[in-house]
Amino acid sequence: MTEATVRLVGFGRPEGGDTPSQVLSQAANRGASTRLVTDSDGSGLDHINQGAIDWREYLEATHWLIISASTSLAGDSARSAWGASMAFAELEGSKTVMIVDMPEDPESLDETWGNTIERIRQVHVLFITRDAITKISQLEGVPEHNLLQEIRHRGLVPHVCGFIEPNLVQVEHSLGSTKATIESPISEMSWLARFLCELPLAGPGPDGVKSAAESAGIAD
Amino acid sequence: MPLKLGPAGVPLSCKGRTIVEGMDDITTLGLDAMEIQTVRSIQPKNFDQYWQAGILSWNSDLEMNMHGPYYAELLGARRQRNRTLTKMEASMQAGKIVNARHLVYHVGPYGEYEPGTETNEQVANIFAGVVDRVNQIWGDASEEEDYAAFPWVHEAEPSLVGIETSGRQDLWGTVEEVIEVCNHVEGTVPVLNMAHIHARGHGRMRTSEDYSELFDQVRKKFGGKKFYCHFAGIEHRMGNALHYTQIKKSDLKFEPFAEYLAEEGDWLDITIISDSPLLEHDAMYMLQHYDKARQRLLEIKARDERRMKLAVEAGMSPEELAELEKEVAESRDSEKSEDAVEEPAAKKKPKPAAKKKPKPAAKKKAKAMMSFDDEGDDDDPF
Repeated sequence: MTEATVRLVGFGRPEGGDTPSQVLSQAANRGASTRLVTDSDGSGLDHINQGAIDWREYLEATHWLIISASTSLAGDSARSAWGASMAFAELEGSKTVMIVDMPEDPESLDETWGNTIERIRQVHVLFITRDAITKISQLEGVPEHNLLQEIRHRGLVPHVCGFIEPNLVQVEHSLGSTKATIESPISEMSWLARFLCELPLAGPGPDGVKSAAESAGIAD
Repeated sequence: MPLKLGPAGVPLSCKGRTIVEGMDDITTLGLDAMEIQTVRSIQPKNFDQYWQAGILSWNSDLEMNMHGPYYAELLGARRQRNRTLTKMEASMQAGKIVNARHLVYHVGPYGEYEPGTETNEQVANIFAGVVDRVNQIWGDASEEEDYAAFPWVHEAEPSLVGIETSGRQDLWGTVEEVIEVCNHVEGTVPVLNMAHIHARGHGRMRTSEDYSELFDQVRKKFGGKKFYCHFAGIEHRMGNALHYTQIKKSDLKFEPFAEYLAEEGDWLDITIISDSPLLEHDAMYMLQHYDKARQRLLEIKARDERRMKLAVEAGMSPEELAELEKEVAESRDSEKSEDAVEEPAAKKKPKPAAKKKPKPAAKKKAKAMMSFDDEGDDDDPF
């Protein structure tokens, strides 16, 4: 019942299927209130009229704004809207969740990661998909097992998380680090959706983060 | 006092995303500095817009600066150090092209080193090499003809190398360490990241006196008057920065810094970069608070001058005026104490409301700076 109080707003493609839409869909299944901000006239994110988006209205009383790094490649308008969403989230008190996923063209990860770093101070939860962890660790020259911790320390992002093994998730946070085993085979976006639904209700401190990370990996 | 303020990156509200578009926006907002943060996208394909940015900067008063790799390990093993230096080389090249006045670098974790003189010497050696390299890049006479359209390459001073304070106990970069290295390496300047200093000092930057102490410390030990600062809100714990916040949400307030700059900052030549999550919005917020602090100081000065003028008109010397004011203050105090004795009796017979007089403004403590409150957030620039 309490899960219904968690509110998420995503910014993604109108046709869905991208990581923000997947998270919203999974969170809705957990009873969260979700909304997708997207291009309303069907012309695609690359032609989105970003001035028409009332971010304040969307983000009012919202816990999480879900965006993906790949969206920053969908054209100038999309990138402007992507940046504006984070600024408005900061102003409205919503926390920004950035999903760093592999873009359609894997060679573009360098660019999406660069775009993410530019905005790293506006990100509260940075989720890096497993394939992106491998690539970014090569880009940064940091061993995979240290990557999340290093990014957390250098970027001062409150939560940096990702699957370090198929059934093991690592969450680096302001108060320490936690690893949680995934008991049932669930997708990365499904775990993230559950984590975001649990975190606001899991209590403060490292125990709260640990509890949310573990609960998110338990089968329904 | 030369004060330049600006955001660390292309403003969030900028419709375009290029540096030049960002510079236009910054100028429109009345700001006058910018720090380029695109440390991962220093690639030849971006150099065209860097040249444009350089021309714009050279032809205007907008100060450009560049931040080096956010991911530095200068005290790491040879491999890590070389990787960091390679990234720094790219930012040095780009710094020349955009006419950067400062190149800002982190040092990174202590690694195998212990904090102390030996470590600082190692850092100083590395930065001596960095400064040499910057001077080589800027002062290549053989390139003069090639860069005829970009006069700053030969006419401007090379970028100063800024060494930034760090916000965590395990990272090299206390104020003392940074000053020591800057003292030993000509061409470097301390980069005072106030959020980091505040976090590492367990919340030490609270009053204008704290800023006064900090700048006095730097002035005594470093001696320069050019300063480059970062300012943002910060959450911290146990002497470590946890994450950046907008200024209004942090216990690190800008008002005391603005008060210090307005009251005692005449000797400074300072650039303040907002690296808050609200970039240019918080830069504007800082500018507004600085203007308010200056205005307040002007009012105090004007009031003092007016008092002196009236005294002269009345044929009194400043000493006589001071004596008279002292007497008036004493008599006021004694009246107050008499009132306090009579108060119980007065309470039995309450005075009519009309007799209650508000305290005249002139009685307020003249020298104390007024603190800014955020009632209603009227100064919110949005």
